[in-house]
Amino acid sequence: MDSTIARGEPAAYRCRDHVHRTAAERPATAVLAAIPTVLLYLIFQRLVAQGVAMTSGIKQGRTDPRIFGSFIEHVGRAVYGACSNPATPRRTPTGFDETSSTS
Amino acid sequence: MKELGVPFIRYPGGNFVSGYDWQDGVGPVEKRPRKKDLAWRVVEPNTFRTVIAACDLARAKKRSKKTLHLSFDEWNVWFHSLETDKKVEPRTVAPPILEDVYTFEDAVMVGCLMITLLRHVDRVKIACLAQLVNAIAPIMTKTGGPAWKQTTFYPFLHASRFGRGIVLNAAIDSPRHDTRDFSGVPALEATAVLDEQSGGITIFAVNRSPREQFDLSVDLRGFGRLAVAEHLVLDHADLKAVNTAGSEKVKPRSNGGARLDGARLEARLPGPSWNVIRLAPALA
Repeated sequence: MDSTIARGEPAAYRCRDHVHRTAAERPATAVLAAIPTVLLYLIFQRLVAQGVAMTSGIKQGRTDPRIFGSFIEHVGRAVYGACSNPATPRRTPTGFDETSSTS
Repeated sequence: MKELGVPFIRYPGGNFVSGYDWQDGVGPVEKRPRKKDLAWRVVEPNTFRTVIAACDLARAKKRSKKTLHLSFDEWNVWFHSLETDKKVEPRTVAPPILEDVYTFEDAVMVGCLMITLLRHVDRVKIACLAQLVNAIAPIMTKTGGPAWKQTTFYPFLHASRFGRGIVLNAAIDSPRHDTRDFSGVPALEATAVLDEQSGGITIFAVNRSPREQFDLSVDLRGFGRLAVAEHLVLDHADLKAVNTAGSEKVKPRSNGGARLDGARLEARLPGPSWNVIRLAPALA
């Protein structure tokens, strides 16, 4: 098992590369002391089992909540007709439904 | 919107901003000018109060030890409305443009994109789904009427709700196939996120095979005693199935059937499907 995958490497889709990587080729940034010894193997196979290659998993990083951001362009019915709707009884002078947006 | 847990919204943006003068959007509404939005060929009445971003403070650094991270902007599936939008009457207010009606197939695609974002959390710190409501969006509304969830609502919802934590660098072994444009495409697209507080793990997995179901096996040694809390599956017999007002055909089911045998998780994933397997620490 190769447990020296550097933090940040996309091992998830290059597992075979890692299996065959020699010690000299491994990134110098691998710091084993900082890495918990957690292992995670995901094996996908047809109903009849087939040969599998495995390697180890470590921390890729922490999710920054901002990756779940979104975007509203001033286009189509994204603003007028949805966020700002003159037909909405609760509308404010700007048309934005601030009751629901701040609750 | 609240249910999706979106932490921020980029606004304003896109082609709209290219011809936008912020001074048109301030002051008494009745005095604001109606302008031509040349980018989208519509009329901009300027009745919506825009947020003016102070974005001219960017500083150039000569040499820095700071690691530059990435912002992945305006991502989504967008193609369904391209042809019909050409027929929309120009120079109108709020016409129904960019209103892609997403299929089950698109939801699987968005699931793959969510997994890709999670697998790169070491460098990607900001991402913006384009967009949020009506225009290429997970939420669709009828003006003055109901709102409903498009198929793509669900992979975003699940990743936003269960994908916050430590992303584990999972090793994957999967059958691969060649497509017209790519070779060696794995049937399994997956990642796992550890919740440090609870010790729970959520596995996100897409089987992108159009027909074939596969058995997923996950080795969880080293994570302590876990129990399957939930196995959500988004699948449908028709790749082109869509959700409309009052008819939500594509929605997740929670009877995926994943089970743990010691430290080995086994689950059968339909092809294609989006899966969320939530593992919680087992009670002593």
